[in-house]
Amino acid sequence: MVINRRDFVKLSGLGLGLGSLSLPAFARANKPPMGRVVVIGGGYAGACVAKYLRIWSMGSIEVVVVEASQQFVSCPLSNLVLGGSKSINDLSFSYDLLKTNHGIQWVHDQVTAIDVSTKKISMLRGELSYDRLVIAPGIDFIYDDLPMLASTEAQQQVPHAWKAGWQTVNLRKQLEAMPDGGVFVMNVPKAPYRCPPGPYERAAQVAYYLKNNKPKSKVIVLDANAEIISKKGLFSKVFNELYTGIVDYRPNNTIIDVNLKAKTVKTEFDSVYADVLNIIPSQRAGKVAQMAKLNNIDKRWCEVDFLSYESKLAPNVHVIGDAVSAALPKSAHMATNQAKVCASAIVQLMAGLAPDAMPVFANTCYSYVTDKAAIHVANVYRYDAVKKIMVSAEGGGVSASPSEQEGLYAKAWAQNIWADTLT
Amino acid sequence: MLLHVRTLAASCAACHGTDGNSVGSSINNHATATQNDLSHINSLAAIDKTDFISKMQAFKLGQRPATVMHHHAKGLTNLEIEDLAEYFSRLPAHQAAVLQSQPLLKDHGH
Repeated sequence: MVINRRDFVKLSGLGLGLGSLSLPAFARANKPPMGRVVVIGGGYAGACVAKYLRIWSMGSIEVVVVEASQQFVSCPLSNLVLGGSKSINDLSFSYDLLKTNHGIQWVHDQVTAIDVSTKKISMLRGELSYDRLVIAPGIDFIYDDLPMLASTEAQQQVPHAWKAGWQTVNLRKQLEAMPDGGVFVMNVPKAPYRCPPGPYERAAQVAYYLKNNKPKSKVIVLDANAEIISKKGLFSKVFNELYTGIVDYRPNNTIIDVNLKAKTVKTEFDSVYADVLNIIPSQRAGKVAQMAKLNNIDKRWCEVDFLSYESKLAPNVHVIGDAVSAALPKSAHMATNQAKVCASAIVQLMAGLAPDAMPVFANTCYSYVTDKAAIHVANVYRYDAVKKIMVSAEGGGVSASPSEQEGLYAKAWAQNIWADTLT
Repeated sequence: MLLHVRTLAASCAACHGTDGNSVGSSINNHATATQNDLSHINSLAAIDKTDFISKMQAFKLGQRPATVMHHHAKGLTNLEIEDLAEYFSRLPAHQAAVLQSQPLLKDHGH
């Protein structure tokens, strides 16, 4: 049920549109159209909110997703591409099942402007109006401190690989081409950033590859933070015991300059030479959120109401995923949780009803430390009616130690969250 | 209340599948892991209510060996555990399919 723009324009006046065809008859009966939600972004958050809006409104909310990419590429598990146990082709998926299973209208285009007063968005090739807008923009990189890395050419040489895709492939190729005895230098940006344990998992994956293929080589991790900020005890142990002499972890090391020709990075203390260099820049809410001027917290993240994910700045506009300002991990599982709370709230609000006043959800986040062994951090998060934020409940925690059992769980996690988000 | 438990139950989908049907897990495979890698996570759809409550309570009280689930069970109220049991017990079990991947497109943006 992929529709082109001409069909889409024809359909857009019909309320229910094509979507209701995929629903059982009982769901369609007696359900008047409740209006249109436009979702910008088809990552974990955007794809998930679109699906659950259709399911929980029983097809009575028209959902249009606007996404610039033709394909979904998973950041979770993409560090395994660097370690060599996964290919990027294992992590790339079509949106087709999501669209057809749920009757989601899909526009492959790029958003150029958002007008919250007239409830309209402009794209390169058209316009859309909405009753409610969900922005799931992911992250945007900040190059103010390292302007030499902003160009596409510079990122050919120094990929961030922090949005999975060709940069991930590029970084893997550079790692494969590196001679034994070479130095892989990477950084951890100052928190908050997408996927708190991700950089440490990356260091472990690169070390895993080097240990087995180029044992004289090294991974230098320049961490802008004062210490490992996620699964600290576990990663310290992995670096010190599993990858002794390979991982050189340096806290409080902010990169202040990069010399692309000399292949050196400068910190406040040191100049470090890199055979292969991977710099993960600081981050803020994705460009679409900036366009709508919703990134009011530190000019980086978006303030929302945690019962509905409606922006504190613009009525009828919701923000979900990594772009949200919350003292919570920016993980794929959290993005899908926010999407579900948001979808549930929008269905209620569009029916003139109140959203759930006490949302609760769970986050499980795995990191692979070899090709097979993984560790986790897991927590339940609960709405605090006094503080008006999501706070972690009692009882959360991390693995006792890395295990292959958890590696299997991590694999099942990936397969299930992909199916939940994209089918 | 249904809204509350529905969103919470949907949160379990990251590991246990949409509507409690874990991909790769055999239908009604609530208790035992079988041959393939993906069957290590149980489905929750159509689960026996009493069984769910007793396992979750055992996780919560630290009486059942766990790698991950104790971290979740301890964060839930007894009422939430009962509501989840009721909710999942009423969901139909079916065989959920693994999503097939495809080659990364040449023009993918990043």
